Amino acid sequence: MTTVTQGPDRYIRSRVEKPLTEADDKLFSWYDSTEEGG
Amino acid sequence: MQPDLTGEFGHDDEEVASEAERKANRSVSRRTRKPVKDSKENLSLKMKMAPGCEITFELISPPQIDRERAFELARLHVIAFFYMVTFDPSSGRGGYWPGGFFSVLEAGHRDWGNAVHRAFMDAVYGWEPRVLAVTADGFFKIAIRRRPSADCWSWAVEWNRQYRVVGFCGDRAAAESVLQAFLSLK
Repeated sequence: MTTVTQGPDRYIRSRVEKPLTEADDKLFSWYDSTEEGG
Repeated sequence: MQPDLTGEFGHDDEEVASEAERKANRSVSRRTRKPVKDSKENLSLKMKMAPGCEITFELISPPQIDRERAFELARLHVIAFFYMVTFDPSSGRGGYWPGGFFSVLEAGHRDWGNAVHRAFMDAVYGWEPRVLAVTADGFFKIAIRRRPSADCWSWAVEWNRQYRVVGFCGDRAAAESVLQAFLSLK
C-alpha cells in the first residue's frame, strides 16, 4: 500500500521521465509523405 | 521558464536563464504561495512492506505549474491561432471549433519522450496541418492539425523550450476514438 502524506499535487507520476531525441521529435514538424517512400 | 531540479534548462540561452532567475525571486507560486525560487515541493511516500516494516521515500520536485492553469493558457493560445487561420477578411470574423477542448498531458522537457506524448505524435503526425508555428526565437511553438473527415483537431503548445501541453478539440467522439488507443499508456 502506498500513501501520500504530503504534497499539494493530486496524484503522483509513477513513471520515469523519458527524454526525447531531436531526431524523434515530430510534434511541430511537417509530415512528409515521401519519408517512408509513400 | 524555470530550470528543472538539476538546474538545467531546455535551452542554452543565458539571457533567458538570467530572466528566469530574476522572475523566480519576484514571482509568487500560486501552488505554494511562496516566491518561485522557494517553491520546490516535497513529497513523502510511505509503503508498508510487511507487518512492522515500512519504507519511506522523500521526493523533491522543482517548482510546479498548476496543470489546470497550463491547460487553460493552452486553450487561450489555441483559440487565438484557430481564429487566425479561420479568419475571413470579407466578414471580418474568425471561427471557433464546434465541440469541446480536451487536454491530454503536460510534460517538462526531460519527459517529452513519454509514452503518451510519443503516441500522440504518431497518431496525429499525418493529419492536415492547419498551424505549425515556431516563433519568439523558438520559445513559443504551436501545432494545430485536423483529423481527416472529422470535426476534430489535435493541438500542441510548447513554451520556453521547456514545457509541452497536448490535446484535442472539436468532436468529442472523434477525439476519444483517437485517445482510447493510447490513454492507457498514461
